[in-house]
Amino acid sequence: MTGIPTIASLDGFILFHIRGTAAREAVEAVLPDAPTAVLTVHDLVDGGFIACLGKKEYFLLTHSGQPLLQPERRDNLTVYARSDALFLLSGDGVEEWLKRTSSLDLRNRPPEEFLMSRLLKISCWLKKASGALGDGYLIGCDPTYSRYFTRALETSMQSCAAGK
Amino acid sequence: MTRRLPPIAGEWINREKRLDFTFEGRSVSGFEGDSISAALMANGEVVLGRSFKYHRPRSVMSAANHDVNVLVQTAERTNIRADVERVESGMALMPVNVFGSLKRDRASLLQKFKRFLPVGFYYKAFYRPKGMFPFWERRIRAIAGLGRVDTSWRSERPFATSHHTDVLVVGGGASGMSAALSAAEAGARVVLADENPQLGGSLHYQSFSDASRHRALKKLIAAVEAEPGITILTGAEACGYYGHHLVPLVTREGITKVQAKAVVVATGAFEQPAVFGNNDVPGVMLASGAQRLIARYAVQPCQRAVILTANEEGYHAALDMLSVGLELAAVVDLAASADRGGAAAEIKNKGIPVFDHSAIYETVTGKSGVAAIEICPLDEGGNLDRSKRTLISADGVLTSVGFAPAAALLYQAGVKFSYDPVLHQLVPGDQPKGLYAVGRVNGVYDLSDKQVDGKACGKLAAADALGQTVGQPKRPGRSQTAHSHEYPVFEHAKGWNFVDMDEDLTLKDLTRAAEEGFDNIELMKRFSTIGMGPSQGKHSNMNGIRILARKRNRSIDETGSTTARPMFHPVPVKALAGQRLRPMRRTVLHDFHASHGAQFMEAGHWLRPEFYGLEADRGTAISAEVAAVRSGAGLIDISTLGKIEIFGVDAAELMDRLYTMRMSNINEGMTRYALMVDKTGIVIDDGLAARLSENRFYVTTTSGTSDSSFAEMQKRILEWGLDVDILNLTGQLGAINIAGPLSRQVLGPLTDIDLSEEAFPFLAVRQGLVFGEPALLMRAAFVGELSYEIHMAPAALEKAVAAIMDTGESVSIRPFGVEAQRLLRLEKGHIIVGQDTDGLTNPFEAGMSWAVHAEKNYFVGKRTLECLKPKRARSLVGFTADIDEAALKMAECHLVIADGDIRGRITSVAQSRTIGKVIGLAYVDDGTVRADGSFHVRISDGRMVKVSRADLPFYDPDDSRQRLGVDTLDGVAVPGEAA
Repeated sequence: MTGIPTIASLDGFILFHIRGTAAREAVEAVLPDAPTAVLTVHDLVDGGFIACLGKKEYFLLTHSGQPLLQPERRDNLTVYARSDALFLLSGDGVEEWLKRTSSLDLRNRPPEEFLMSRLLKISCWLKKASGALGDGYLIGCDPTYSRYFTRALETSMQSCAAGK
Repeated sequence: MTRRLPPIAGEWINREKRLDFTFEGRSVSGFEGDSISAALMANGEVVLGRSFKYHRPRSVMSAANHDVNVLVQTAERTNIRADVERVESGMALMPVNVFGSLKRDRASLLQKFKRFLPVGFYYKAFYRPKGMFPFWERRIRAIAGLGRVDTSWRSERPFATSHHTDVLVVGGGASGMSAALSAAEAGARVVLADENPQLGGSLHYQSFSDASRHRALKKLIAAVEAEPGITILTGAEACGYYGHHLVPLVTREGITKVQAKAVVVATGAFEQPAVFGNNDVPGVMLASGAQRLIARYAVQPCQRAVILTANEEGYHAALDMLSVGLELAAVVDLAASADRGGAAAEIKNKGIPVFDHSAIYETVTGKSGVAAIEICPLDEGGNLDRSKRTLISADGVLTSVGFAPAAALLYQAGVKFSYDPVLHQLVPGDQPKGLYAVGRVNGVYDLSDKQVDGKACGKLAAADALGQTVGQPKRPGRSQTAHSHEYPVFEHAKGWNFVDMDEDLTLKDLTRAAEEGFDNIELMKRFSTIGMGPSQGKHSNMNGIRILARKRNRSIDETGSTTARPMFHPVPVKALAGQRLRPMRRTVLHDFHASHGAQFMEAGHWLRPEFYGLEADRGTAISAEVAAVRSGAGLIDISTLGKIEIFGVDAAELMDRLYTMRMSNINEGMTRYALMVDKTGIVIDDGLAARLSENRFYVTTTSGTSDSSFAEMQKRILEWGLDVDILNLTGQLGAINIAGPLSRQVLGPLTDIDLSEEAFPFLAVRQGLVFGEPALLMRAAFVGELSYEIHMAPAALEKAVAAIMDTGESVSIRPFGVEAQRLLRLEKGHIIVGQDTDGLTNPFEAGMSWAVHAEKNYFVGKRTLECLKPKRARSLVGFTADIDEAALKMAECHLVIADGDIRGRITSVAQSRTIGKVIGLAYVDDGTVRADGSFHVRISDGRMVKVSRADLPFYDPDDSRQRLGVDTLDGVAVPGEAA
């Protein structure tokens, strides 16, 4: 590995989870070009993204100042703000670290792919960062694992960088 | 360094760097790159280890990671394989399995008792009297154990890593390197793995005196190293083959799980020993072992050798020995040397005596190993004719009588092997798609053929990996010359002819096992333990199969072969375990708890406050927390509860089907206890179900079942085809329960929700704002007081809790932990799923018939529960006992005893200051409780404690406190204050 990746908490963003039979409709109302293929993602100019998780399920990450959506609960729709722990992994060696750590084959993955995997024994999602966030990967996980995940990431990356 | 040879082309050692270490306290020096065995031999050490059972002296046999009689240990590590482990400066090495010293091992006396220690003797000798078995077991274990583990040593545990590739080639010999090159040239990404520290395989050491082979090796290595598409991993053992071409590689740095799209197995073959008298003593080794010692480490295996051979490889080994100045006393050929090609002729031309159609009866041992060899001609029946024996003095016997494929990975992939009567070797049959056996493991021996075989399979593997279609490349046929002898096994009158060096099993042992009826190789393996030692039969199984086949007059195929399970070589447990990753969940209030002095406990994956205060004040602290809830207000973090939102037009239908109680008739704004059983009627989860609107529910689960219940719901929705969606909000929301008669008073000022009894009655659910943030509130009653569950977004909850603590200061509100909660709910007689239920508990046993609405058309487990209901034979009952020393020792899982029989067990028990007694819950078989309401519990020290059955709940039996709240009830005492 050429260097140790850096881990930064991603602040200033809000992650909406949109689920229900009206999810597509709700998303298209604000983002007409939202992806329709499962586990694909479109980047937003502010560094956020809209990801299709299923026929009636989306993740929308936007700047918290311009959230695009508001929490909403209807019979056929739930929109709520997730509390996921969000990390931006960047720097030399991120790709190599991910290849070594993830059970997914990350070689030649298309940039529009939204990945859901297990890293360091917990479930998380990840995608390539874009726009203002630069290179690297965005990773999100259940907020109750935040402290564990931060430490595990640091230890794993240092270990990987040391060639252990 | 008495046995160190002058530099050998391609040697692995760095003569510029000398390393000093000790062995049994003696100073030894070696070079960087030396194996421990090589360095010891270079220093003139001959006896390097002792055998497992008889403690016979042993030394190098293969120098290929199979010399399990030469295990050493340091203070930190045990069972180090000296034949491959490299020396390090400062090592302090000791042999394992030695009583005394290597030269004077007291346990070698066991050889004199050999006739009393036949195979399986311990099965027959120590089973009677039964009571003595533990005595014998301890002694046998003390003698039989290999090495000692320093249990205080803390290992640095490496991370397990993943590596994805197109093609994995296992084995870095000529076949493997050719396959890797071919695959890479076809555009595939290739990982080339070899267990040795350098590439080369047998091409490096076999016929090392042949300069053309050395040139071929250099050329191949240079090509592989120059190919950018190939990742070379040396020192990497492929320890097993798993489905979909997953092969874990074990390195010093840990395990790398290589996920390939195609795998080429070029693992070669293990040279097999010959079985003759004293074939185990120092000086007897495989010809390939001697070649490795010389080619890799420039160490002379002996000074004057006899070579026993059944193939042309033996003559090439003879030439190798001569090339480094070793004296060759004779070559003994099990058949005709005239059939062995040019090498045999060359040996004869050099004047070396060659004994055709002959074998070795025994080696005559001197002080520390071989001193002479008795050679006898073979008669037409293959028996030794000792009347024509020749005795030759020599200190070494190098055997080259055959090979067995290193086929563990192929077996594990499901490949069937059959016996090739030309090769006299097991060869692989059809291989699954994307898996290729090449080279010697495939019965291909000629160097050029191996390269062609490798190239062909590399191309095919690349095509598989890249999804391409290629024509079938031409593969060479298997060798048409036997490289193995069909039965290199010879009787020895004294019975010191070993088949399995790991376990000290002789020909006589296996013969006896076959005669006793263990006529299947798997049975014989288990009875005799052949192949069950640390080398896992790599040098014994093939001869074992040959012996059994001959004794039972069957073919090799009829006799069968064994499948080596992973791991291929022993793998350090630290590597298997990998980095200690223990994902622990912390609630959003973790820092709040810490700042209030919480003692944390692990509850499943969660860290939860057990109580607040010093460990020394545990009892007092818990009592104070209980009293606060009973008399004022307490606050507990219940963020760990599962939280699932269910919405859609079929939401009510789903709820009805999932839970035992009818849910579709819950009024909007109300909650109901929710009990879930599996299809066998076993209680698996409970919680509260709140109806937020016609088509939206919010349910809680126990802390430990949120994920499994969510998964069950997802599965059922798909199975039933319902129009409903679910969200697992467990980690997305935080939650607290504020409980106690004054909780309304505390919460009221902080919310816009009307908390009055009329507006927000018991079991109601309301949504509104708490401390200005959206919240969902439920009137629940787990602890039996007026209480409000508050569910909010994590960040908002943190602020709300701070505000609640401020507001509650006037009523001395305090946080309470899991221990106080457990006692409070026990006083109320509420069960905890997982503590008061087990993997067999149905709702009727748990006293929850009221929670099963049998009139519903369907719910999961309904049919089973209908069957189980009339069969109930035990019940969860409440009990009390007066507080005394014995009663206070009652604990969960203590048994209920009646008439000397086990009739139940305690599930929960605690001292309740509120009730003034020890109270508990226990499963009790019907008919156990006596007429006076008593039964007995046996505590840990064996005493019986008499307890009395009590009605539940113990506290507030008419539920007035939780239903109405004390602040609305005039004249109701607060029991907590009395305590």
